[in-house]
Amino acid sequence: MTFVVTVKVTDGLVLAADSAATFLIPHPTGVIAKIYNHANKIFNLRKVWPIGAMVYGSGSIGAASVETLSKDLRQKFSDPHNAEYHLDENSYSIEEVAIKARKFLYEECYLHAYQQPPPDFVMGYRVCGYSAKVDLPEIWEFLIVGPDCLPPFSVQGRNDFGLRWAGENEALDRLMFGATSGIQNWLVQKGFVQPQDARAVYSEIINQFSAPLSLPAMPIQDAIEVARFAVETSAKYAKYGMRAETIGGPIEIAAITKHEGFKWVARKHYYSADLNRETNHGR
Amino acid sequence: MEDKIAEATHHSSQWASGAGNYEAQRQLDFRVTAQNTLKVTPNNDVSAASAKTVEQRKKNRG
Repeated sequence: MTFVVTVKVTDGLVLAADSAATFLIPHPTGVIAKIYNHANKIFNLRKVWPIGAMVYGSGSIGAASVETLSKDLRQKFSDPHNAEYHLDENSYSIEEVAIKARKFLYEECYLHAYQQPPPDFVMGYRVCGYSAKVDLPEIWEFLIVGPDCLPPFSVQGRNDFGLRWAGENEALDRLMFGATSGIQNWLVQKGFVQPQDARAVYSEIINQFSAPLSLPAMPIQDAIEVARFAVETSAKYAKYGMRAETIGGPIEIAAITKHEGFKWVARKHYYSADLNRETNHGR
Repeated sequence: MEDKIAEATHHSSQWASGAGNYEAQRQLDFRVTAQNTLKVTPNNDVSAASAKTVEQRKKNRG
């Protein structure tokens, strides 16, 4: 399963994710959970450019992993002869990248792979970075749920700063909000609040007990540490809780800044860099 | 068996998780204001520096 988080500050943004991929295999005695800890969930959508993406929910569409599909998309973005997908360095926007990512992943890959989309399919795809010639980053996202995929929506505009997490949210919800989101149902079931008031009461609990971890002007290095802390906390919550260890493996982190572009901060490779000196993946 | 393989293939792709509660997360954001923009000098150091300046002025006045 997955935990992903972005930390957005004035100097840029940080993407961080765990590496666990959970396989739920039907078995005569129930369902077996098989967990691998080397999935890749963060991608650079145009090499070096300040554009990144991350995925949570389903890790594949049909027979292809979202990682491979994201790299296919990167090729299309880079190809000047592909009028449909090519990004113009002087005029692209992150919203445009998100719209094109949705077009490729949902319209071309998903609807083609599943003539009858699985009803329990959920995949979130978050696109982050700087639009051309813009001073502050922004974050967009779209969700594929069963047969549907609405247009990308803005998660954080240029002037919004802070953490945005997704995936298995429970640990960070408890830590940051001061209460699990399940408290809303509990308050209603116990008769403490009316159903129509539950959301407002939860909002007030958050106002009273939340624990923010970032400031807009914090240095990018500190934003990296906060992102790492968020993923580590969720992973340890899964590790020591009475449950399957569905968040885990190496923590991958990337930072995107205006002038440095997309930089890996922590990354795993299945091959040794010392044995593979190529600079362009053999192309 | 084929059904089971198809089902396993589908389920194998699940990292079963959901979108965050972004509306609630937004409540935790600090807004950029004159009060919380970057300060490179801690407040106590500013006070100490101010005290030194005042002291120096007194001395200068003789």
